[in-house]
Amino acid sequence: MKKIIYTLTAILTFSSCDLLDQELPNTIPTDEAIVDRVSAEAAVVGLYNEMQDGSLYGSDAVYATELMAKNMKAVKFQAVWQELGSGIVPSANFHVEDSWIAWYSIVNNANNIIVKVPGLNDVSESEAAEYTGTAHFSRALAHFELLRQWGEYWDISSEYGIPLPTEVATAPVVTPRSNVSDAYTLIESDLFKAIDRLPAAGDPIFANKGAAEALMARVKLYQGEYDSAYYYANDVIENFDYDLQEDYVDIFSEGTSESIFEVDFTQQDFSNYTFLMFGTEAEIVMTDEAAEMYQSNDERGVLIENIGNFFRCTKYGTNQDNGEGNAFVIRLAEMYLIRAEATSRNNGPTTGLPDINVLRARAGLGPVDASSVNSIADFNDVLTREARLEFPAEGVYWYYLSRLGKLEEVLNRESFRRIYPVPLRELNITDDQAIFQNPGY
Amino acid sequence: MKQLGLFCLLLLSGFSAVSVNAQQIVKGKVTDFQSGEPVPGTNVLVKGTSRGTTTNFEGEYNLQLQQGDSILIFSSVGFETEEVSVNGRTQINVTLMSDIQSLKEVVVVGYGTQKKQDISSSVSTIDQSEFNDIPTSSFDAAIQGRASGLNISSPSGTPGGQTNINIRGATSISASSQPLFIIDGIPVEVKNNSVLSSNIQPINPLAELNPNDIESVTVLKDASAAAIYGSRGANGVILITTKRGSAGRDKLNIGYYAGFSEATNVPDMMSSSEWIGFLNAAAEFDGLGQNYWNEILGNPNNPDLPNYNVYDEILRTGTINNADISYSGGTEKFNYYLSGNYFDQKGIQVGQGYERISGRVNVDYSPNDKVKISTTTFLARGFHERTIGENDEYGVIVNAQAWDPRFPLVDENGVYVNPFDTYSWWALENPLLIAREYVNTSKNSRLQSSLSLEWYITPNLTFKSSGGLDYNSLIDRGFVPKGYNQTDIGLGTYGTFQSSSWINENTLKYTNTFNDDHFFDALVGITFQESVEEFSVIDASGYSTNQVISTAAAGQITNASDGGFRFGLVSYLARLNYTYDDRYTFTFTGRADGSSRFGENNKFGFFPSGSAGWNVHNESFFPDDSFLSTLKLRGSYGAIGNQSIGSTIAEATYRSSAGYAGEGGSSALQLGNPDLTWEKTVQSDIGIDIGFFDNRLEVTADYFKKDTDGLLLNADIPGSTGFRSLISNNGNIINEGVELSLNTINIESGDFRWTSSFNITWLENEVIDVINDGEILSRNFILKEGEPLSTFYLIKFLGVDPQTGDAVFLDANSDGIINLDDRVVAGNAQPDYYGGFTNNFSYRGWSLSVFFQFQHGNQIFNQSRYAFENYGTLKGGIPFGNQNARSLDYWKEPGDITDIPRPSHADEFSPEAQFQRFSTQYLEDGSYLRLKNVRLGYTFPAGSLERMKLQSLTIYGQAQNLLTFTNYLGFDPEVSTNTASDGSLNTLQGEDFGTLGQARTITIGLNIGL
Repeated sequence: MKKIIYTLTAILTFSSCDLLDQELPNTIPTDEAIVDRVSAEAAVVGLYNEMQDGSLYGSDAVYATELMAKNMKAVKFQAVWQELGSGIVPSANFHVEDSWIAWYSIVNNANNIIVKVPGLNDVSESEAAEYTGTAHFSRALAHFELLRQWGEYWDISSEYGIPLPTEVATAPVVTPRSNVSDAYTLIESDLFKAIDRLPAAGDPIFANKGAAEALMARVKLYQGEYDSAYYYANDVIENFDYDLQEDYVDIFSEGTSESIFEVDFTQQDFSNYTFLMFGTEAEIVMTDEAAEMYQSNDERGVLIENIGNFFRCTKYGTNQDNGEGNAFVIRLAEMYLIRAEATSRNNGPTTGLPDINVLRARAGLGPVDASSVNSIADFNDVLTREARLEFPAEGVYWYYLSRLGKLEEVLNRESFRRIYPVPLRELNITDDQAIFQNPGY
Repeated sequence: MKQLGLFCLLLLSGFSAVSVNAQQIVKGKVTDFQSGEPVPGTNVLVKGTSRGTTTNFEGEYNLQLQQGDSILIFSSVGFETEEVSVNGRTQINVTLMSDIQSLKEVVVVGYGTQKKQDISSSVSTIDQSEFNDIPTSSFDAAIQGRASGLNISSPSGTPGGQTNINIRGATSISASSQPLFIIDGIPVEVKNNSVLSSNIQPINPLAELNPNDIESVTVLKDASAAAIYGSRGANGVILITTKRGSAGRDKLNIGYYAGFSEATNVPDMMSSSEWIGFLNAAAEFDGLGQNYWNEILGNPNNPDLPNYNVYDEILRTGTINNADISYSGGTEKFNYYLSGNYFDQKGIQVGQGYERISGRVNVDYSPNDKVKISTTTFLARGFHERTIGENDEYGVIVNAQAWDPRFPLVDENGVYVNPFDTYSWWALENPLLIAREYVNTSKNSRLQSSLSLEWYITPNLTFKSSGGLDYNSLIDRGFVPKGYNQTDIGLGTYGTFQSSSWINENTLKYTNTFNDDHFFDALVGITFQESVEEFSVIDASGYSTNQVISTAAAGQITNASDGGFRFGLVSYLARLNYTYDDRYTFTFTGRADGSSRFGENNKFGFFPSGSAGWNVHNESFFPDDSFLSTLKLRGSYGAIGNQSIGSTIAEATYRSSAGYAGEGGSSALQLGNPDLTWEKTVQSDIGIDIGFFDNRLEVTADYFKKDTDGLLLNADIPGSTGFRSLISNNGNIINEGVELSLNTINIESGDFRWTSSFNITWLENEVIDVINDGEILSRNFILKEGEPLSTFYLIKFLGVDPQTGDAVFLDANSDGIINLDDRVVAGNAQPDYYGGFTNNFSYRGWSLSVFFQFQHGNQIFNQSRYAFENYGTLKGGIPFGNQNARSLDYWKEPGDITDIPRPSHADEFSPEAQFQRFSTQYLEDGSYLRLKNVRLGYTFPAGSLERMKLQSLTIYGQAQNLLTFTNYLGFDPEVSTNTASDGSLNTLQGEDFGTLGQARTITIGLNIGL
C-alpha cells in the first residue's frame, strides 16, 4: 500500500511542473511571432487582415463618412449609425471608439515588422524590402486616416495632431498627441520608404509602389502642396499601368486596372457592406438626395437602385449574406481629381477641368461649362459635386466637404464637426496633457 | 468483529446459564418514530451494567436478563436515547425519536466535516428537505433565499437557464464572482459553453444535476471557511453532498410531480382601436390634423376593426414533469445508493424547453475496519431548446410587443404573417415564426465520477486519496430558416464543446484529544487538477430546404474553426482545528496554489486564514438555568483568492487566424502581463450565535467586510497601443454587510408544530479604486469610484412639462443637444437588502410550508419600454410599433401632471423627441416581495400504509412564484438581459431588454416508499 502511494505521489509531483505551464492551440507568443521568413510573411499578410476590420475597410469607416456626408442614412436600431447619420457625433460613439483602436492596431503590427524583419537571417534583401515596404505603407495609411479623421490636418501649424507610436506596444503606455506637422513628417517618411521598397506593380489587393505614390498624392494635396500633389497624381496616371475602365460599372468587378489599392474580401473572409445595406435588417441605405442627383444619362447612377422602399448602392453586391465585395481604398479616378485640383490651384480655376471632364465623359456626360467657373470657389463646387457623383458609398466625398470647409454651406453643420471628437474612452483613461479633446467638442 | 460479538453473546448466555436465579429473555424491535422503519445497530444496554446487545438489520434484538435488571437503555446515532422499564415483559418494542439537534451538529466543510459547536467560521447549511421537489430544473434556483449572504437570481424564465449567484456580493469586475461549486469533493464546471448567439439566455450546466440526489448543501462564506480552497475561494464555496446508502433495510423510493406554469405578469399592449386613437393624438399634437391615421390604419371607432392579442400566441401554459426513482441500502461493509431521474419542462414561451435524464450510483465498501473505498458516478444528458430573447432585433418578445395588433400572427391559411405587410416598423420578423422555426438547441452530456480510498492507519490518523473526473460534452445546433425576413438563403451553425478535467487529492488527517480537554483536528494535503477544453464551430449558409438543418446540407461553409483552452492547478493545503474544553475553538487554514493562468513572475500564491470561537454557554460561570441555551462569539480573518479568468490571459500573443486573400497570416492579439496574479480578498467576519429557551429560538448574526484588492480587471488601455484592454491586477472593491438569520420553533404542542426561519442580508458594494475611473460599460453602465458595480449611466429624464406636455431631459454638458454625452450616474442594480422567510406548519400527517423571498433597493433599466413606450414615434413614416396600454395616460392639456409626455411622431434624435432611448424614463424600482413557494403535503399514517403495503406515502401540491408584489412594469422583476459573460454578471446587472422572466408554476406530486 505504502509503495503504491509513494509511486503515485512521485508520478504526480513529476507531472505537476507541466500542469502550471500550459500551451494553447491557436495563439503564438508575441516574441515568437516574427522569427523567420515564414512567420514574417504571415505577419505581413496579417496587416491586410487588420485593414479588413469591420470598423475600418470592412465597412464602418467607409459608411460612417457617407452617413455624415448625407449620402447615406441610418434607418434601423443601432444608435451608432443614427448618431453618425445625425452628424452630431458624441465622443462615446462606438464607431469613433472602435475605429481609433483598429487603425492603431495596423500601426502596432506594422511597427513589429519594421523592428523585427531587418534582424532575420533567412529573409533575402528583396523580401525584406517588400515586407518592410508593406509595413511602412500600412503605417502611413493608418496614420493618415487617423490624422484626417481626428486631427486638424488642414492646418500644418496645429497642435491637434494624433499619437504617433513607432515602437512595438509591450505595455499599456500612452503615446501623447503629436502636432500636425510631425504627423505629416512621419507619414511622408513612411511613404518614401514604401515607394522605394515596394514592387512597381501587381495585384491591387496588395500594396505596391503605385498605391504608395497615390497615397502620397493625397497626403500632399491635404497639406496644400499642390506641386507635389500634381507630381504624384500625374506620375500614377502617366507612368503606371493603370487605366480608367471604359464602363463605370466594371470598376466594381474587382481587381481592375483602375484599382490602385483595394482590400480583398471573400465569402469566408467577408466585409459588412452588403450586410448593412441589404436584407431586411438593413441599418444603412442611400439618401434620396444621393440617389436622385444623377442626370438620367449618368452611368454612375445605375449602381444606386430603389430596392424595397429604399435606395441602396449595389457596388459591393446585393446579397446580405455574401460579403465578398472588396473595399476600394484608392482608385485611379481620384488621381484625376487630385491632378485637376492641383492644376487649378496652380494655374487658374478652369485649368483643372479637363481632368474632371475625363471622368464625366466616361460616365456619358458632357464637359463642365467652363464659363460658370470663375474662381477657385466655383472650381471647388464643381470638384466636390464630381467627387460626390463619382464615389458614392466609397468614403471619398465626406473628405472633400471636410477638407474644403463646406460643412456649414452644404450640411448646415458647425465647422468643428469636420473631424471626429477624440473618443471619450481615450480621454477618460489618459491625462489631459497627453490626449485632449478637439476644439468645439 | 463478528466473532468477537459472537463470543460476547456466548459469554453472556453462558453467564446467564449458570445463574441460579430465574432468567428472562426479552426481545423486540426498534423502529424509527418518523418513518416507521427498523433502526439496526441500536445499542440495547441494561442500565447500571455493561451488559447488552445490538439490534440486527431488521431492528430486532434478543437479550437475556438477570435478576434485578429493570431498565433498558436504547441508543443509536442520530436518535434520542430512550430508557424503558422492563416490568416483567418479554416483548419490548421501542420507537426512537430522531435527534434533530444532533443531526444538525455535524456540518460538511471543505475536506471533511466538523462538529457545529467547534466551528468558528461562517457557514450556512441548507438541508435537502428545504428544496425537495421544488419545480425548477436546477437546485441552485431552488435554494434562492434559503441562506443568508447568498444572493441567487434567475435572469429569465428559460427552462434550464443560468442563475446568477453571489455570496456576500460581487467581488470582481472582469473575473467571475460566482462561487466555487464542489460536488462530492470534485470542483465542477458551471460556465455556459454554448456557441449559440449571445442574445440567448445561457444554459446552466448545474441543471444536469438531479436536485433529488442532493443530501445537503453547505455554503462557506467567510475567509476561514473558504480559505481551504485558496485561490478559488474568494466568492465563497458551495459544497454539495449527494445521498449515499446506509446500513439497514433496502429502500425503494419513487417520486413524481407534474404541473403547469404561466407568466407572472404581462405588460398590456394597446388594442387596435386604442393604438390608432393614440397615433391620431400624436399626429394632432404634431399639427397634422385630426384622425390622421384613420385612412391608413382604420377607424378606431369601427367595431369590426380586427384586433389580436399577440401574447395569446407566443405565450402558453408551460408544463413540468419530474419522475425520480432511487434504491438504497447496505450492510456494515457495503452501502449503495442508485437513482434515476427524468425531468421535462416546456417553457411558458413557445419554443423553450428543457429535458433531462440522469442516473447515479454511489457505493461505499469497507472490506475491513482499516480501509474504505467509495465511488460516485453520475451520468446525465440534458436537452435545451431556447429562443432568441434578449437584446436582439430578432428576439421573440420584442417582435411580439411591436406587433401591429390589427394582424394575427398566423392567417386563416396557416401562413405566418410578414410584419413588413403591416404597420409596425420595429417588428422585423413574425415572433411566432422565430419561436417555432428558428432552431437553437443544445445537448449536454455530463459524466462525473470519483473514486476515493480512505485508510485508517491508526484510530487517529487517516490517509485519503481520491481521483475524480468531470466530463462535459455539448453539441449546439442553430438554424435560421430561409425564405423569411432575416435571410433568403438559410443560416446554420453546428458547434461542439468538450471539457474534461481531472483532479487528484491526497490528504492526511490527524485527530486526537489530550487530557480530555484539548481536541486537535489537523489536515494536510496536496492536490493536482488539470482541465482541458476543446471546441469547434461550423457556420454555413445556402440551404436548399428548411427541413434539413445540418451544415452538410448547406451550399457553403462560411466559417469553420476549432480551438481550446487548458489550465492546471497544483495546491498544498493545511488546516488545524483546536478546541479547548468545548469552550474555546480555533481554526488555522492555509493553502498555497500554483496556477497556469498567471504570469511568469506570479505562479504561486498563499492564502492563510484564522478564526476563533468562544462557546460562552459552556463556561462554568454561565448559569445552567438561563433562558439562553447557546451563546457563541466568533471571529475570522483571512485572505482568499479568485482566479476565474480565461486561460490565455497572461501572455502577449499573436493570433494565427489573421488570413487575407486565401493566405494565412498572423497579427497581434493581446498584450501580456507577466505580473498577473490572483485577485485577493481579505475578509473579516464577526459573528454571534445565540440560542434561547433550549434553542427554540436561534439567532445567528454576522458582520462581514470583504476587501478585494488587485482586481483582475480587463481595463481599457490607450487605443494608440492598438489594443482595447489589458487584464491586470488593479483596483479595489469592498463588500460590507450584515447577515441575520433566525430559526424558531413557535409552537410545539401535541401533534401541532410551527417553525419559522428568516434570513436577511444587508449589503453595500462599493468600487473603491479602479484604473479607469469613469469607464463606460456597454453604454448604460459606468464603473466609478464611490459607486457600486452595475451603476447605471443614463440621460436624466426630468419629467413632463405640465404646460407643453413635452418630455424634459437634463442637458448635462449644456451644449443644447440631448445625446449620449449627457449621461449621468443614475442609480444601480444592487439591492440594499435581500432574504427569505419560511414558515412550516405540521399537524399529524399534514404539512404546510410558506416561503417568501424578497429584495429591496435595486433598480432595473427596462429598455424594452423604449420599444413599446416611445410615445408614438415614427420611423420612415411608419409607426414604431404597438404601444404599452400604460401610455394612454399621456399628457392631454396644460396643467396635467404626469410622467407620460404628449405623444408625438418625432424620433429620439429630433429636438422634439418625447423619449430618449437611454434615459431614466425607463429606469424603475426593481424591489419585490414574492411568495416564492407554498407547499401543502399529507403523509399517510402507518396504519393505512400497512393496508397499502407501503413504507411511506406523501402527496403534495405546491406553487412556485405564486404572488409577486412589485412596482416593476416588465414581465418580472427577477430579470437580467446581460448574462453572457462573467464580466456582464458583475457589472451589467439590472437591464431588461426583451427578457421573459420567471414563471408561476403549480405542481402536484407524490413520493412513495416501498
